[in-house]
Amino acid sequence: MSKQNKKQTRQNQIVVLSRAKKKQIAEQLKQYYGIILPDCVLVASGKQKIWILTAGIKSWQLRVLLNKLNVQAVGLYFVNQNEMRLSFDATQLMKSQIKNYIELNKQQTKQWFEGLAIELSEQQQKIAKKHNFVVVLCDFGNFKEYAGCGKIINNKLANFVPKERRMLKMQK
Amino acid sequence: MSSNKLSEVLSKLKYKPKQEFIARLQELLQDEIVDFFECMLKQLPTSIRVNTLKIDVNEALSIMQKWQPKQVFNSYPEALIIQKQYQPGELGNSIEHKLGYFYIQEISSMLAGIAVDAKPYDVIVDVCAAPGSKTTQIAAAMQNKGLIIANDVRNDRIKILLSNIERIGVSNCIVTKMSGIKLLEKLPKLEKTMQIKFNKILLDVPCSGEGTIRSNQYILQMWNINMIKRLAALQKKLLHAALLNASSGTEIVYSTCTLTPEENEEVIQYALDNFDVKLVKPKLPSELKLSSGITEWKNKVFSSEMRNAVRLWPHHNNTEGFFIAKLVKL
Repeated sequence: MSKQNKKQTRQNQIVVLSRAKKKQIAEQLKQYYGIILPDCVLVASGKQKIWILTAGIKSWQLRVLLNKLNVQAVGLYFVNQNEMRLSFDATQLMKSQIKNYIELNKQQTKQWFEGLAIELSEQQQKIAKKHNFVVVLCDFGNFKEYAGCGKIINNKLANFVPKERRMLKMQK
Repeated sequence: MSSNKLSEVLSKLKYKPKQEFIARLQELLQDEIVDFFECMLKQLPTSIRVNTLKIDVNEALSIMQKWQPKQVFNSYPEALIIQKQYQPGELGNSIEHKLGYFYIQEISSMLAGIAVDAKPYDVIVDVCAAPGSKTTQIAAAMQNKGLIIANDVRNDRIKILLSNIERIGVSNCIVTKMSGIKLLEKLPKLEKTMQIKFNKILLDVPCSGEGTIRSNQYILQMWNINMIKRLAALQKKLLHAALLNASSGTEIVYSTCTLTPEENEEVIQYALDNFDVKLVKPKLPSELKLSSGITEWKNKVFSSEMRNAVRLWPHHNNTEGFFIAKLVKL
């Protein structure tokens, strides 16, 4: 097997997290974002990515499926394990629980969806600096929505909006 | 009915349909064939499905007022028709789409998802799942609770499936890449080992796509009877594997976006002839004009149960064409 293939295989490996590891992640999510994990199984796959499966099955049942089927993906990408950064979609799905967030104005929202780092107001910086990662609540004019996480780097909010969710030119 | 009128309509199509195709349709539709081909010339209305995993239908209606959305079914408020003329790519590149608030899905395609009648805590296998319109629809109906195994055989199609699952926020789905038949063959062992029951199976099988001519007239150019025979054989194999391996009580929704009886009623008749199954009427929105499955085709007589199968003709509801049959293994 070539080096590249080995790397690919390692990245694609899906590992069901132990109860202890899941507990650790659940505690961190509660501490950082105020989120309580629903009934789920967590798996690790790809570059430090943790995926959530809310299928109502137990870890051992998932292991059976992983053994018997050619599984490509399990559940939804939820959080980056290294940085405890919530994924774009996780912030939306858990919106009723999120406590740690900053609100961007319309101009900042536009830049956020263009993939740019955001200049923050003093007030926003104050909130963001309390945390490693902060959830972003965007203002689209006629509605507001959570849209991933950011992190203060050099006094700007670094952008983690996935490329396929960015907009080249926002209409609003 | 004048053949002049039919010739006139046919001459307006981008690709001229083969004579055999016209003759077969005439046999199915008789006088309605002109209406059918006239409908092929009309622009297909754009429909979307609100993703209730991320947004409430009323909130979506209010946010998307700019497109003048109109609800089409009382029993399925998620289905919306976009009434306003919009620029190409406007919907797909909109912020609402990027946020996963809706899925662009043709009304007829939504019907297969509705027919599955998914509920939270179901255990469902979507055998030919890509690009994921019905998988994401089923997940929304299940409120992300219960298991979906979404399978496809092709890598490129799985990539699209994964991308849609992520955008819609589906967290109760396991995506597999294998032949549908092999997957179905594994179900009994999985049920035993995992101590679960796969209670619903969606077989939205590969088909000749006659129902999608409105959005892709090239289908007319591609159409040939050998392709239909080849696909019908594959469809029978898939349904055979589903019925052989499903446990008693499992509901199987068989659907195609084609109108040819060989890929629809003949496949269902094969199931009725060879398995202990019941064909039941799927619960579909009452606003639709639905036709029953046919009971005769080319000297073949089908079971009277076939009336429980559903044909959706494009010109009856200004949609694409579709076929749905719901079987229950006894």
